[in-house]
Amino acid sequence: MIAEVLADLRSRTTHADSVRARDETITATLSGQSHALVSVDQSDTVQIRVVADGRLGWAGGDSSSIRAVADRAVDSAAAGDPAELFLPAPAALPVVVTRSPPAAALTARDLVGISGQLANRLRRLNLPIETWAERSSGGVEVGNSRGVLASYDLTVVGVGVSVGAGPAPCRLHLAGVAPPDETDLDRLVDEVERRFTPPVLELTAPPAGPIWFAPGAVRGLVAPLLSRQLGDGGLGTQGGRWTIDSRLSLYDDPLVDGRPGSRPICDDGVPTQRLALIQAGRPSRSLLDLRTASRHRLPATGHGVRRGYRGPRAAFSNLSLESDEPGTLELAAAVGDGLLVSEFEIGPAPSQDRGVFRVAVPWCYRIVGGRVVGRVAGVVLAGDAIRLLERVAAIGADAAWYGAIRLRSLVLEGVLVSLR
Amino acid sequence: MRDVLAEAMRGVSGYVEIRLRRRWSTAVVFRKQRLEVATEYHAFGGVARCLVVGHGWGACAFTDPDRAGSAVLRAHELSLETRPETPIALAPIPIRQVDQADLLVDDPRLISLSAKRQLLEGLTAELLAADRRVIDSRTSYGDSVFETWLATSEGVWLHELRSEASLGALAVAGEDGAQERALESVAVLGGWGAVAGRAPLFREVGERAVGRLHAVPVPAGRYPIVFDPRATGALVLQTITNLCRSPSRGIERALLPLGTRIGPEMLTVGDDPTALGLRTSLSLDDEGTPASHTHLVQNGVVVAHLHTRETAARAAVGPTGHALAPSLRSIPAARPTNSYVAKGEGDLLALLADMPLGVYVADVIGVAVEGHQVTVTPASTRMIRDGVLAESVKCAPISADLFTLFGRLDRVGGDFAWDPSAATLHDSGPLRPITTGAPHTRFVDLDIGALYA
Repeated sequence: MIAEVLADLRSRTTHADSVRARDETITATLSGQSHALVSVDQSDTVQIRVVADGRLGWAGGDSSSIRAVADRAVDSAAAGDPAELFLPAPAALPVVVTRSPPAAALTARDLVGISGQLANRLRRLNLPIETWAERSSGGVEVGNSRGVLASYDLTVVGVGVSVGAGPAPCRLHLAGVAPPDETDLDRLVDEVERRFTPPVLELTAPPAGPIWFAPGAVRGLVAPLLSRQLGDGGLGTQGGRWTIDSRLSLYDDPLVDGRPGSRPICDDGVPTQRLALIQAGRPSRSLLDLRTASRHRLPATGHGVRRGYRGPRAAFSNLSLESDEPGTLELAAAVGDGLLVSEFEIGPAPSQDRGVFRVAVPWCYRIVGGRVVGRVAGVVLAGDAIRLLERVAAIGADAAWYGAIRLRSLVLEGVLVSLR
Repeated sequence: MRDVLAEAMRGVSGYVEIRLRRRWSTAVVFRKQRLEVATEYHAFGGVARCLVVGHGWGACAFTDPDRAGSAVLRAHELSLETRPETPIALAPIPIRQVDQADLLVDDPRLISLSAKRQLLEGLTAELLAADRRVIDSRTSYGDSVFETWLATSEGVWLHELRSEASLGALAVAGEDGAQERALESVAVLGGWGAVAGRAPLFREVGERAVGRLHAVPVPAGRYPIVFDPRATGALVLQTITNLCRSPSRGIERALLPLGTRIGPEMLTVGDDPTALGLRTSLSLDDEGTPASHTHLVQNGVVVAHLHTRETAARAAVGPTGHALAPSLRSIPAARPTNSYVAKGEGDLLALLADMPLGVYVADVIGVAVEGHQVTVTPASTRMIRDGVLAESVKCAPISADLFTLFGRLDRVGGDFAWDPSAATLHDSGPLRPITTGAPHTRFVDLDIGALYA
């Protein structure tokens, strides 16, 4: 479909590229005994970008009206600014697993079964729960006027649980290209149990010891690092105006098999590659989509994303926080006397980009004598994520994929702790 | 279209609902003087829902208008896949047939993309000209026209056409290594004419960012705090109104129980989808229920929740007409439209008059709610000294327990105003626009932490 439209655009434009994304997502949600919803969402959208008379424009819409989308892209260029766009030439694509036939074959009934199976396993906790299972299956077609024309199929299966008890919503999920197995479901059940089993304690004074950020909480800590390594913002930081602990590295890896962000070619038509965002604690490369790269006359990194009705931009694929040391599983012992935080988000302020935070952590546990002794409420953490990551007290050996991000526990010192 | 939808539902058992929505939109974005985006896009989204008696919901969403019939059949099949132990019921509603498709005036689709670009280019120049210390900016223009068709097997019919337009401005000021930001937006019902004459707004954003550069932090401590109408509206929306949305799925979020005392006698909170002239007002919600003005908190006590037909039946009350879908193809859930705090007495001067020292909060960057813990991050703040607004200051987030916070409300002003900024509600999934309205409010003895910067 996009090959024909690109051919049609040849007489009206200097350059053109396009991406089409087809998807069918089936979701089965079971909520207690009183609500159930099985839904299917089918979409087929296209984005077209052109350079006409030296001006850049783009438009998006439903694939069923692809020629109208092409006309609007040309109109957009007429209202656009002069810009250069260095389209990639055809190249061999890397091999990566993006689709699982068993996942593609999952039916609504299968997903109701998975969701129900998870609900049954959690029933013994006697908590109000909602479980869901979701399968996305579709394909991506990418092309440009220099002759790139590639496509790949993809699937993503997610399973999740929300628990309606506790100090804040407890939402846990896992996702991958293939359907979850028993071990995956066990992992979810175990995590719910870990959240709710410890008794609730009253803290009279904030503990002074280190904080164990579980992998789910480390996600919040690395968020300000990510915003610094995206697009224009990351240029010029190579070599480092800031650093983190030299034992840590952060990679973006679209070529790891079977993760939600895996893909052989980006939506800009550039073959994908594993990229070190932070290497041995120092900022390394930043993600560049084709437009940003063209503006700076740099090579695009293969991270262009153009989906739905949002404009072309760079986006992370699969992230992996790695360490050159094996780490430890004895993290509670490493903390000794302190806190374990299971979830952490910096939130909008004082400044997410800068990494400065002062936030309540509802899923927080007291560690005494190297042992988790209970859940504590009303804990507020404050600090500067970048500065805190400069020196990590302990690194976990518990690295695991959480959807499209692979994280491990970190124990940090110097976090300001207060009680409400 | 009416016949097409009737045909699609024919012969299918149970409750059937089809919603089709077409959207024409324009987006123009500048980063400083550099054009980032100037584009138009058209999208179509449809969703068919079925509820067969004794079974769960089935839904099928699609992007091809010709698929309405097959989508209904698929939704019917999916409904049969589950059977909740407690049957799902829908509260009865009056059946209305509404056609408002000829009411569109000032259609933004008739204005060229180049003209929209020129408008924003001029406004961006205003912002950047505010001061040499404005070092970065991001400005945006957007408009949308929505055409909606809704039909149900019970006979509801809606055909509606509406338009809205928006402007946004972010200014970053910098000097001597310090950087500060200011934000402003406006989103209103209407089209091209609705965004005319907004140059002062853009210049003010630049000036406000510069004004914050040398503001000193508020010393940590406990203060009386006056919130402006926008800050009050945001605070109440993200806390009380949000906690009065009956969850469709039972466990999505905590719900303030009916009868709970949340604040003093002077506090009355509601949601009024029928308010005239607001972009989020409506006649029928996305299930076809007539929208109704709902008091959520009356004299400090929670008296009602926002409902869909399903949640209303579960609670054995009438639906309120707040079943809203945030995107073209999503399923409706109870969501606010025009959330407000009812006015009390007195203007800002009256609220400030007896305050020797305090903090004035104009707008907020965000309101985070974790359980019942509330953290308000002010956008712009000034000290109050001897009953008047004094110097600009930087203020750390204000944290309090929900009940403690509203328990310390001691004045509600009489200067009520609807806020035209582009507000949304924190929620999982797509954001749906919200309008808030409130007067100035005053709280006593709130904790402001140390500014960590």
